[in-house]
Amino acid sequence: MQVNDKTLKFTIFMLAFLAIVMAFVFIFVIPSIKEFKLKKAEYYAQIKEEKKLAQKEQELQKELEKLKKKYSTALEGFKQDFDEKAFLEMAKKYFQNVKLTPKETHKMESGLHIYEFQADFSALTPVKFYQFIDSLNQMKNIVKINFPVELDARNRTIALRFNMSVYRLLP
Amino acid sequence: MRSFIQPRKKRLLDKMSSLWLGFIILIAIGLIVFGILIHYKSSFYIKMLDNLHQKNGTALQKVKSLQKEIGLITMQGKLQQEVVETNRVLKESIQNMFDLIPDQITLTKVVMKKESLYLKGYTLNPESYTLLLEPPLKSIFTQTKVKFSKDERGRTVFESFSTIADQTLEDINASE
Repeated sequence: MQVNDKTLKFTIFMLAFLAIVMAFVFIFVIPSIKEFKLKKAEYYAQIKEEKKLAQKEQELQKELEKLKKKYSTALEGFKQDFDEKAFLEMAKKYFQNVKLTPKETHKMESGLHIYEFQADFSALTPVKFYQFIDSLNQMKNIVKINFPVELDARNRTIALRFNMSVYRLLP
Repeated sequence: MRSFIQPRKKRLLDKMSSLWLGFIILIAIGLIVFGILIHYKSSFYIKMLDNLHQKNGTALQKVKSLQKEIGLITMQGKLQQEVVETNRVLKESIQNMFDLIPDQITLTKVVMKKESLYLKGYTLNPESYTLLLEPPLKSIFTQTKVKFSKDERGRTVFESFSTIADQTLEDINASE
């Protein structure tokens, strides 16, 4: 009878022990381990991402410097304010009468501003017009001559009329 | 019946039960400590993750702003090249147009568009125009139309309209 009592006690304690261990493992230990594993994996993923971003940033920085060097003239040109008086002074080197009429201004989302002008000039020969176009490409501003170009013979001069666009980038 | 010895005090738990209970408590404490340790480690990663998220967020913003700046610079560079090229093409087009004009023909008006060319001027006679100016115009444009008339001084005036698109002389007069 005493042996049977001991066996019963042993069984009860064993069951109690297993129940408590299982309860602690399922309620406390497993969720903690799961969370730990998850956070650890996320941490290393973020470390990887950090390295990737740093590398990307470095690459982009290099590319940016390269582009800034490559397009330095263009960048300077887009920053320049358009001085109408200075432009007309330059045009007077090639033409007799110079007149610039402002037309529309287009503003782009990127900050690009396009100022449209109508130019009315008169020249003695078309060669002056070619020279003027060459000098436009040497100007600090970005100036584009647009079609249509009209040339009209008047007395001994050629009256020229064309539209031109001045590009500027504003922040 | 009487016992000759005094009865011993009965323990609340016998030796074996105490051992079991102690063992169970020990294991439970061990599991709790293990759990706390793991939780502490997780908190460490959570804290580090917060910093990393913040750092990576800033880095991502920086990358995006660099990409935007690169895009803007590339746009400016390409646009400037396009402008220079357009001006060069325009200059060459006008030069080529004047090269086409023979000495027998005098121009009084030229309207040059992207896809068309309007010429007005004097010619010795319609044949001079047909022989000297029409062939080069026809080689460049898909359509060439001409109108001849006489001015008050009796000179032959021509008005020609050449295009690579489907337009007529009336179209250009209307667009003017």
